[in-house]
Amino acid sequence: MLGVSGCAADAPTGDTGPTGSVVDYHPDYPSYENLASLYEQADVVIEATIEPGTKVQNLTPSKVSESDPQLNPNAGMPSGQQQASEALVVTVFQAKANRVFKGDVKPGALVPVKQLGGDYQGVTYRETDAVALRSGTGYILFLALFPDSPASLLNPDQAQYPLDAAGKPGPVSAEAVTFTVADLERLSAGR
Amino acid sequence: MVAAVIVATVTLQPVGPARATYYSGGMWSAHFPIRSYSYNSTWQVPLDRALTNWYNTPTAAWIEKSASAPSWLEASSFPDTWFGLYTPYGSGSGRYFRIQMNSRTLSASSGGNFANWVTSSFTHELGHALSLNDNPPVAASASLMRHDRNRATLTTPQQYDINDVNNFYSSR
Repeated sequence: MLGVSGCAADAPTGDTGPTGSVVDYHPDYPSYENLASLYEQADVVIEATIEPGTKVQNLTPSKVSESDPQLNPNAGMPSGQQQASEALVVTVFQAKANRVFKGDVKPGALVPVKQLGGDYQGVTYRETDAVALRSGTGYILFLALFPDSPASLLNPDQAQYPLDAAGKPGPVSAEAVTFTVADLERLSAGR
Repeated sequence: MVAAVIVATVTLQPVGPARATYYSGGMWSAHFPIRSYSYNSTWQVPLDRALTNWYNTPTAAWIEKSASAPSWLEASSFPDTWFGLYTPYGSGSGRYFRIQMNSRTLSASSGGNFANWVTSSFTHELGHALSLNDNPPVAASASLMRHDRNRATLTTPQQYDINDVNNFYSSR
């Protein structure tokens, strides 16, 4: 489970439950068949090191078109019947890009990456079965970018690969795909 | 003339789970209410179908809408990669839950099958309320609870899921 202690915190507005309690998030993510599908779906693929320090903050719904019936489930509904959504709690890490395989990121840049969960006001929010990023550890990360929020892993099982001492990516779950840095280099080169 | 009567005895073997794949955040009973919700027809119809899908299974699953239900559904565009998210609160017979549906990922991923993706995702989340865990050890086509299922076509509980619900709630 992902439960991260933040060193700074904004004020979540979600249903936090009683102080001292634990709230478990249980999400349904897309799954990827292989490295090529992960690479294709990701906006950014980097080798990065997680910098010290995290921040716990709200994940609030985005503002969307009032008329798009798919993006906005309230589109076309009378204002009195429109239903609001509560925020979630996320922890934001800073990933320093050492090498860029895909995406508009420069080597050396800090990429904020969020994961569900974190501690706030005595309540621990956890993402069931997810593995938290670790400060000081190198990773291959497959990320989705958002204009109004830090990046996200494509999913918790298949989008983070800690690097061993030899720089070889390893899995964090049984659902991880197997690949080498050379495989990523080939994809990056369009081969 | 010999009349031969052949009686064939067929033993039907239920398709059962290889191992229990239950989730500890489910409801105490398979019959529970969810707060009445009201979204546009693009959402409302496939959401309602998820309730019907569980009701139509040969299980005790019966999820009714009620204005006063503590459990609730939200549908919004979240800047994140999940399709649906289940959060349990309380415990035992006091358990209730929130289900959140992410319109951003569902709209972006579903192609021309938006309604089926919504139904598949909401039926999956209700599966957690019925104590089913993610990614049971069967083929993706055999369980609604697999993350690698085809959300365009797999919108109803499968025999594996039905057996798990029956096994879990048979002693309650």
